[in-house]
Amino acid sequence: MTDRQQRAIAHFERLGRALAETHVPEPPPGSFRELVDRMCALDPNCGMGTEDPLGGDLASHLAYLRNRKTLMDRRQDHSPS
Amino acid sequence: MRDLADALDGRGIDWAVAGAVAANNYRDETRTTTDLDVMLALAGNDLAEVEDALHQCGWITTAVAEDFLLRVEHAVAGRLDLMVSGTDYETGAIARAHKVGYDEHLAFKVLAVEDVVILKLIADRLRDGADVESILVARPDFDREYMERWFEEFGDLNLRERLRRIETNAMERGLLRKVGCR
Repeated sequence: MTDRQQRAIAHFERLGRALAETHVPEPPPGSFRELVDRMCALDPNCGMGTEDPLGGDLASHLAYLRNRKTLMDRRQDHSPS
Repeated sequence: MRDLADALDGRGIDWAVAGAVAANNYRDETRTTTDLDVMLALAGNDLAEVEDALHQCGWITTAVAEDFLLRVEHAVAGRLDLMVSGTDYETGAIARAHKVGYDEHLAFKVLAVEDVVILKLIADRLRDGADVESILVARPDFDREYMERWFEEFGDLNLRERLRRIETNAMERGLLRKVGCR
């Protein structure tokens, strides 16, 4: 690693720590409706999907499904026949 | 949510909110999402019946991954991703989810913090890791014994190592005081 890279890493580590130290947590929502209202205040399109019908969190769901299938297949292989 | 509750509760189908909305319930910084994720345990019910009930309320359904994921959309109400439980773990996670009140008329279940973390560890994308970190920072006191039981069961996926890596990284950046705290 070069000196420049080490300085950059040290800089971002300091920045990360400073952000963590000055972070002010949001008060917990009073109700689930308040939580949803906060989400909608951040983005009026919150929960309204994406233009791409295969967009949004689909990649995460498919990654989960793939890992779950791998796990189930391995457990089946290890089970006594 | 009311349409979904009617379609599922009326058939005795156990279900719980998962994904980003459930995660928001456990971290101290709200994030937005494009859709609401719901995990359901069909328990002998036919998914087609659920689809029919939603169609009658104006929802359009698309089976994205057969027997696992149904994408449900409504022009006004938005988008839901319905994920069907396929393991004992998932069915148990839905059963132990706790009920929250949305308003005075509607209440539904939200996955427990441990299960939100486990599901994100299984998905294991960068974004899922970031979600786990934000939950760890806000709620480091979750039930480690419950998680350890499933880490053992899912040994091949190295979930324990995935969590430890996220914790260590968060600790090094000053976001978390210690690893594995309760």
